[in-house]
Amino acid sequence: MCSVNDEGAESFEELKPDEPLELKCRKCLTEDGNVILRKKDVYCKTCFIPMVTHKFRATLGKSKLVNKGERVLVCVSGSQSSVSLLHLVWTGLQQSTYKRLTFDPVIVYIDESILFKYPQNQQNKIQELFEKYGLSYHIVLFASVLYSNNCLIEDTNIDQHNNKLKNIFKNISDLTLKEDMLMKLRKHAITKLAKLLECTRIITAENEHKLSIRLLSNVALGRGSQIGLDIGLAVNDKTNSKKSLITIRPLRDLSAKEISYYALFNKLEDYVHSNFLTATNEDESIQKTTEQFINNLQVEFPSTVSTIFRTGEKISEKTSRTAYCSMCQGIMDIEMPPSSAMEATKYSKYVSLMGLKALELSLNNIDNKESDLKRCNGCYCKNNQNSKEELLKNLCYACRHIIQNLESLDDLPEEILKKNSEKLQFQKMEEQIKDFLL
Amino acid sequence: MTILCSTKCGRNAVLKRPKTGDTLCKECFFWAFELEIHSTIINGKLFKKGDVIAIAASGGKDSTVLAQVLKTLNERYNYGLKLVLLSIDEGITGYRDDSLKTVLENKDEYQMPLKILSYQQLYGWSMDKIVAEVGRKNNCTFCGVFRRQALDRGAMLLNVDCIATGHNADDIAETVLMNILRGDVARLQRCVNIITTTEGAIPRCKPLKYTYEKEIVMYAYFKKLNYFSTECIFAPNAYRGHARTFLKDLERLKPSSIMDIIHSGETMCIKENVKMPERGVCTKCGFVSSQDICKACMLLEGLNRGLPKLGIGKSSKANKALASLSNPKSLNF
Repeated sequence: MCSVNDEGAESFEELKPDEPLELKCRKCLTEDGNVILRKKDVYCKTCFIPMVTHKFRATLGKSKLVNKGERVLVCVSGSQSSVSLLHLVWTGLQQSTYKRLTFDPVIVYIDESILFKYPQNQQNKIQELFEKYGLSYHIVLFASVLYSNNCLIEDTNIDQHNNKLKNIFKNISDLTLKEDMLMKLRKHAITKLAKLLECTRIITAENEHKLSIRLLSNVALGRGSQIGLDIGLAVNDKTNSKKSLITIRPLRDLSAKEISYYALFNKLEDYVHSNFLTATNEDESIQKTTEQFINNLQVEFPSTVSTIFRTGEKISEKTSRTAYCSMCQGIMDIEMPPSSAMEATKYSKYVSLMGLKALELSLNNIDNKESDLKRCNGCYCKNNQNSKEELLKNLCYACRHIIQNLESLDDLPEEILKKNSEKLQFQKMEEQIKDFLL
Repeated sequence: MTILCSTKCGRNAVLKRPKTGDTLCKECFFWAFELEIHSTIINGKLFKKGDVIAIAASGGKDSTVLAQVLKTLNERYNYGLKLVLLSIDEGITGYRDDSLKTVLENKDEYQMPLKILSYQQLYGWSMDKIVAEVGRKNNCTFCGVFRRQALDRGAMLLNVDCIATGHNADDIAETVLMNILRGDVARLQRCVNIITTTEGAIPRCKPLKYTYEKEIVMYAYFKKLNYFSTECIFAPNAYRGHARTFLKDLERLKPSSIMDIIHSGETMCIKENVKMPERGVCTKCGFVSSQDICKACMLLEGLNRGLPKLGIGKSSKANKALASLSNPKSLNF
């Protein structure tokens, strides 16, 4: 099929390859340049660092969301972006009065060494780094955050918790879903830590490049309605009615290259930070394929990342809905009109199993029939099956795909299950009184 | 080893459905394929009884299968539709002339009236001539823009209620990706609609919206349908090619990706404060346009004035260029 319109092509400006670059910094015009950005703009080190700092401060300031003295959770994973974030925050706190950052940062590092192979002394190194900055910090184990309420002090059941965590990922064989689940659990852990540490704001270190990859993978995973949540500047956690918890991403206007140079010029060391996709091939997971695709396009069309990113800025969730997914806190996107991709998929599955018999039953019977089919498969442990069905009811489209892979729900963090049973309780109440509600 | 059909009809399965992974026999596959499109039509309320529907027929697999299925369903479920074929002859030697032969065969086979409109008669330019003028780069812009309007013109001539196009699930998913890559939020919102209605224009619908391309090929293969499957001889659109390859990679990893992307498109919403292009009409030809002068008129003006690059790129630039030219000549269709 031919493209309807090629308008988009014009925004990818072609650079004349032989155009000689200015050697002097384009800002101060006196110093020799050290960095080339956007293939043509030359900056010297002295002008470059304030520019990065300014972008960080501007993004943070623009949000107008951080108040004086507010406790802010700063998430450091050890990646280059996150050590740069830490440095930017620290530098901000050292400034003279009128420029000084006024919030109260709490640094956290979540140790995921139970899932991935890290160098043995990694935790010590991170600790040294945090000590050097002299800010208040916490180093916690991933499993204890998820399963224990005492994670900040001591987790007495750490072995049991570690096993639970490993079990979850053992049960998911698909790399794409594994990674997706990791993302959701990380988010869950960070939210929990923020509450425990009485922080009302969370700062994370994703840069433009990373966010645009996340955006496109989200679309491919069926998380289109959650884009705002996953890449937005400030995300208000509406499920937490008592105290609003807001996630801010102040590095989102910086490119991966800018951050690399910032880290290089400030001699910031970064640490091994893995996920399930580390050292896997691009043809094994959706996220990695997407990353490869964007990187390749970026070489040919240098504005790819920023175009994707700007598109994402204009997308929001549908506001009319009030229900949220029990797992990812994303908007519930499962009550779709009869003409939708979701219903069409359901019908396809149904027709392929029923064949000609599909004709005799009307479309409305699908759901009944469907649950009949499921019951036959899982009758050996009816209870378990039921609770899974109940959880699935309160999950968004993409999270359902993950949970369907799990054999048992016992390994999920308690809060998720608890929240779900609360929701179910509420739904039951609503069901009972619905005839009398005006 | 024989595998049984998953509907328990007792027959041996001959295929594995790309969409669901189920194994089906030929008969059950036909049923499943047709029933799904039937359900799409009913749930999407695409047609009303007594409507006259123009099937946009290129002679390719999608439109051939669409014609066959619509005819079958119309008879089986008494839609009460009058179906006509509408073809656009872009004037590409070695491509469209051959594919139109397929359309002519379809016309006889399905007993449907056929209307062919050509770029030559509508615009005075065939694609062959346009390519000779503008070269191989950017010629898809002309072809795409002209075809959109040509279909509208054809549909008006035939006085139909709706145009059915053969866009399949892969096409829609690909368009969602393309619009994100190009930052075209207005189209991003529109492209997943199953019916697009515009005031003053004839509605268009996509009955194959949820049908996988692979299954369309399977259906045509087992029904032994005759279709034309050559790529256009002019440069294929490189940028869309990237998106297509990406989508195929995703589908290989997870067959449901295509539906997942459409689902994403259906649940995405554009923020209220984002400026959207306003819909108006072209001051020259009266067709729907977001600009004063529609893209088709702009491209045509460029061709007629010997400035073929005029309409390619930003509309604002083209407007400036046009204003600087003296004595604008009005266009007649």
